Amino acid sequence: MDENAYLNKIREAILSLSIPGTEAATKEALAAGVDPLEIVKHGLAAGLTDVGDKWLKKEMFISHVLVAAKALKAGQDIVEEKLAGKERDYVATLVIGTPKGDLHDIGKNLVSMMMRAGGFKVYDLGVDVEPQAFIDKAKAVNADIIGMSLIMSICLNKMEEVCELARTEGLKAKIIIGGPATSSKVASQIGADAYGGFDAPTGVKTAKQMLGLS
Amino acid sequence: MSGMNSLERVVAAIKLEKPDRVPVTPLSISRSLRVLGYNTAECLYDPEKMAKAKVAASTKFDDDSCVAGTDLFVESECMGSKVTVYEHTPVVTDYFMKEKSDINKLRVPDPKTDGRMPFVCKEIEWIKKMIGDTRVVVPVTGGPVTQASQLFGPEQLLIEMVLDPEWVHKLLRVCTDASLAYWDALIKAGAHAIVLLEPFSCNTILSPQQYAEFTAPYCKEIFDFSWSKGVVGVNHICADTSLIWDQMSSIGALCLQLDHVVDLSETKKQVGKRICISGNVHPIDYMLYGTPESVYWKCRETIEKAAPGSGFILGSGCDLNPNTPEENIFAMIQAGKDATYNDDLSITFVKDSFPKPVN
Repeated sequence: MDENAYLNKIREAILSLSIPGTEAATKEALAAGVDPLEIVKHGLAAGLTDVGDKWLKKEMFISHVLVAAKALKAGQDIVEEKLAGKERDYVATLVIGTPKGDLHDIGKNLVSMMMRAGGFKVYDLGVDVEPQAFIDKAKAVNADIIGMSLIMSICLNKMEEVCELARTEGLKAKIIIGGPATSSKVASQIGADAYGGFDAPTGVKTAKQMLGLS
Repeated sequence: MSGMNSLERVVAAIKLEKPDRVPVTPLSISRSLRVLGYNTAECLYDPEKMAKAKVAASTKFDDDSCVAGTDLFVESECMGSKVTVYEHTPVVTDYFMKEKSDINKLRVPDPKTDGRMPFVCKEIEWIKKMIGDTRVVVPVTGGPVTQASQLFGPEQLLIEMVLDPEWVHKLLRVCTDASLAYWDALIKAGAHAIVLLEPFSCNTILSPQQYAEFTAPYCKEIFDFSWSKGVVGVNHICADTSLIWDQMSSIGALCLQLDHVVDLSETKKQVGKRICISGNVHPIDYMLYGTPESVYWKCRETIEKAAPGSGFILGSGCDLNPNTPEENIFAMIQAGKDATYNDDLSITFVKDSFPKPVN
């Protein structure tokens, strides 16, 4: 088998949501001498992106994405020690979280996963994040994008505070918002740079478009 | 057919008969409390205060309903998940089940004594004392799958739906029993209708196959139970539901309450001849950020899509933000008042209460 065949086998194992299959294919690729970074990028992450594409087409749903992410994690754990010292080449840096008061994290977690699979370096601040914490982290890591996900519209004002702070502090990072309580109208109303949609794959596409990466 | 009260109007719509005009029920919860200057946190354990504010709001706006309760966490809180009360809503902040074996510790709550269940029942009693059967008194509750997500965590639940569906069914059995116990108490307290909030079962999260397997059979039990007591079940799912309207209409609920992301003319085409539809003006883009003119004309557009033939209740896609301007709520209600039914169940707008907005 050539290298691509090993990588495709990993992708297919993830696409078929098989955790043991992903582990086996990852071990096989490593044993055959495939570069661990290639395994992560063109095997594991590519597999999750394939699942994301099916999600967009409503051929797969969030359960499937989460199990695929579990399979990816299982594969990643296997290549972890071989990766020591090797950094992936990231396409951009993202700081993400849910604004103060909103503790729903599933959408935000899915965006984090899909962004990582899409080549972003992701700093996930978790849920219930103070506005200033988004700004401080974005400055500290020189972020290209701040992502915020919102389910509860009562926390819109906290999202708006982040946008205001970003403006007054002259942050270079663009702000993308997403989730059920947001819309393009909300984005323009609160001064965010873009609306990233209802689902994570659309969020990744929006981020890449904004940065001229797609 | 003029002179219907709100309850009669909504019942006519639900029975797909002729109401005098389009009924309107904005899903107003924390927004209603603000009419008396309250927030959710200060009313949560004071059913009299809660009821007075809800009645004041529905009377002020002339809403066809009066919503009891505040959120969909009541059942999961009763079963052990920890809730933190924020200014405008309680939220589950610590799931009861840390591992799958914790299912053995779950107990079906007693609505007379456990958590906030007795408070919501008392609130209904207070509302009924004040308004009787003039408006629809309708509490909100959490659906079984949504409850399960708040007991074990949404991600873990979704993963187990793929890896261990049998275990998920065991969990849903307990959640359904919790719903049945709670609905029985709400019915005894005097609810005319009950909303089953099941946002976790939308197509943004579950596939139609998962809805058929994990949601539909359990919700059917609950809706069948309430209808056996003469109480209407309302099937509310936020976000996208376009793949499951047929299923949602076939499990015993008498009304579908849908979010702004779906096109109600499509819903009407698919299921409008057999079930009442309620919705779906955007609670943020229009109700919060719109003007009375834009809200009024958006409501008219929604009415034109879904009201002809009866079986329609105008409302917001999801609950109103507490900062929603009162002018926008009045504009929504006015759109319903202007839309009268003819004998052939077509709609005539008796006047244009607001000028068309200039884009």
